[in-house]
Amino acid sequence: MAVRERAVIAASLNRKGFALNPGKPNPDHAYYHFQHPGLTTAVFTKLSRGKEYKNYGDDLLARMTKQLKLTTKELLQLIDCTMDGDQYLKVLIKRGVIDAEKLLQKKSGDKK
Amino acid sequence: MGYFEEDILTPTVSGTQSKESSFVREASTSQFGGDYRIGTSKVGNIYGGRGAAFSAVAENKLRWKSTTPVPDTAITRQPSIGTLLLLQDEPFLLGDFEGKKIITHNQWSLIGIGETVEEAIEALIEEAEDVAEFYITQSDDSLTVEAIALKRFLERLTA
Repeated sequence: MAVRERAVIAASLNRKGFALNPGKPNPDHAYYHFQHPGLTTAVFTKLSRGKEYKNYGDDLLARMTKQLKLTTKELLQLIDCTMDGDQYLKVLIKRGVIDAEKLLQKKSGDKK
Repeated sequence: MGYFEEDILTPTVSGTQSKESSFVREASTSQFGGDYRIGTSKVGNIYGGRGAAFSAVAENKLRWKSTTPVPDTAITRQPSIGTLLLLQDEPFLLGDFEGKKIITHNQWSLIGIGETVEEAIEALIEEAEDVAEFYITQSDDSLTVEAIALKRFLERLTA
């Protein structure tokens, strides 16, 4: 059974390119949005704020896999830092979650 | 939260549903046509199916099919696992998640989980409302193309 501390997950998400939603704080959840440098993607996940969610067990981790388009094994790699942000981006591209060509076009367009 | 005001098994009534703005429509992988209605939502009517059902072919390509008339007494049915549901014209996949219903999108992180399809849709709408302000206030220049599409969806949902 996999268990990860919420604080560890949050810190890991920050390191991998996720940014905490700066909008009006939700009393129940904190949303983290994946950002390829300069661009916010449609990929995000949420961490519940309640005391009872200090540790994430199988059920909550499973929910995160659905949001982050990862397998459980990959999610644990992301949390445990064996998968970095660039590797995660490649996974998303491989799965068609992010269109690499359009991403490059958008990035090059931004530089003009 | 009172999104759904009608029981999903309520017999449909013939007439003007097709004129309503469609919020949720079923995309059956096994058959065309049919009549599917979930009820009404605070964000819009969600009548579906009549005249606008569509099919997902094996390659995940979507194509629209016109439907045959449905008897007035037709009973709406629960969509099955693997069904594509159209929410505000966006296809979401209905799946199984640890014995519950889950609705996911292939490019967005929006999900809804519930004991029933209605609960899953309700959960998805709640999550959409949670992130709507964030995406809607972002400029398109700062978003990926997939995120821009999500932003447009959220704009329609919250309009």
